[in-house]
Amino acid sequence: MLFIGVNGQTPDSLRYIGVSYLGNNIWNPGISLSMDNKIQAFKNLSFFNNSFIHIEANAHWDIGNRTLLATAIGWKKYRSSLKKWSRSFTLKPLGITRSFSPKTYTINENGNVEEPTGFEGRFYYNPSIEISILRKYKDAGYFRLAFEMSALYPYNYYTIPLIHLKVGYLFSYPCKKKNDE
Amino acid sequence: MNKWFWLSILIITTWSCTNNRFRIDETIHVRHQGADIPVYVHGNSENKTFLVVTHGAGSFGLVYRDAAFTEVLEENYVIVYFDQRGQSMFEGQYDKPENQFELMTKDLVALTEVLQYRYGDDISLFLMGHSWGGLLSGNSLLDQTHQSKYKGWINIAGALNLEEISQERKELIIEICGSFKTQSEFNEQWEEVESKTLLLDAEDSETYDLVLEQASEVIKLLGKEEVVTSGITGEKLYRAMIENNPIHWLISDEVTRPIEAALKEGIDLTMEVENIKIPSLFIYGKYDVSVPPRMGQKAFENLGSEDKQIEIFENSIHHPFDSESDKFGDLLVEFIEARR
Repeated sequence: MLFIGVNGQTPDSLRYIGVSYLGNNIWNPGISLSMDNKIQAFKNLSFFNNSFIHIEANAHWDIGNRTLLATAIGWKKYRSSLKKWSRSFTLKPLGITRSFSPKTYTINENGNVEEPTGFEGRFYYNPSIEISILRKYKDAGYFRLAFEMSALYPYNYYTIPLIHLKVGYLFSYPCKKKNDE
Repeated sequence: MNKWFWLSILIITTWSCTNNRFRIDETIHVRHQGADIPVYVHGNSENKTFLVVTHGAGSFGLVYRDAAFTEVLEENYVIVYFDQRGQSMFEGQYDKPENQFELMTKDLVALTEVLQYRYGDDISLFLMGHSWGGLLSGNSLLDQTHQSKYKGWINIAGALNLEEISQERKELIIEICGSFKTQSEFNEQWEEVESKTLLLDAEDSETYDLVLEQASEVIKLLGKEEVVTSGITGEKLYRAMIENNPIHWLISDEVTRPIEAALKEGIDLTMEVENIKIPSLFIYGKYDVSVPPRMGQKAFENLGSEDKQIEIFENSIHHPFDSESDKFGDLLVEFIEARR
């Protein structure tokens, strides 16, 4: 799973798997799992150089209130070559979030109270952008610090922004091997 | 020796469980007309007495959850805090309502239904409203069916007459300035506020914010005079930043602002409160330039209840539960105990 290249050098990987602490507003705790798959097509175009299809799944808890699960697909671009320090930008236009408030009592049209089903919550369209700083750790992968801004729509009759801080690790999996000299 | 150690553990554990048997600490939601109202329920249910707290404009339910509320009221009763429609952690998907005030009133009625459903029809309910919440809770009690569910109404600095609030503020500002300017080391500042306020035509809606500006100056000067002492507690900060989502709070308040529509409409319950017959307690701060006590006094005189009481807190502005916390807690316990 972890690639160690010839002479200890790590070439660019075709895939990265990320695990991070997700802090909504920093302190609302959560977790973020992601996978980046390198775009192999259009290699000659600089736009697609070091570009990845990004898929992620997040969960966080609004303390004492509700849980939110989110998933997103987008496009991620790393800095031209992955050195000791690097950075990335991710655009995730396809995102969806589901809130969960299990003890929700519903007043129905007749004015009567209905028991909770345990799955009450709401779906939101949730596009986002993310910027991150990466630091190579030996040859195993990268420490990652990311800042994400997203929006929940429709929230009441408007849009609500969400801010996440992510601190975690990016594993390279698997990597291309260089040919022996 | 071993058996005595484990026996002690058993006794302590049993005693702890017994002590907390009536304690409720939970969050529920009430789904009503396209939205989910977050309801935070905390306190001692032994007396089966519930106090529903209706927050002020631009605020949120949990901001009240410190000092008198946690140290006194939650020890004796169950306190129900909630976020009103379009405020803070309130969540939903609905079109912008034509009459947000009426819809918020109906939300309060729906919340009451759920409380009785969940905790029993035999619970004793008291309704409290602070500032804008006083207006909202008072308006909800005009529904006689809803009113009959409550054993008492506690109105704290309730803004019951939005039509004349600016004029009332102006008069109180001038009165306070007049009483301080002759004897204070800050007399120049008092005079400045007084002279600026005198120039404002409070009946002109354009000057609403200008009157509020001078009210803010009075509050600052009262702080300098050390007439009113209160600050933001660590607990309140925790509620605002951690348990509440400050971004939700700020954005929602910026967008929804139900009080603006209510001000435009000039909602006035001064005469309509004659239809409120349940025992009522009015509390106002002497120096409350946000909701002057005279406004509360006028409504109090028309209140339909025979069992009614008004208290003016001498060292308070708009948050008597913060500035005179002990007195506030004792007064509420006395009021509730006599009527539950």
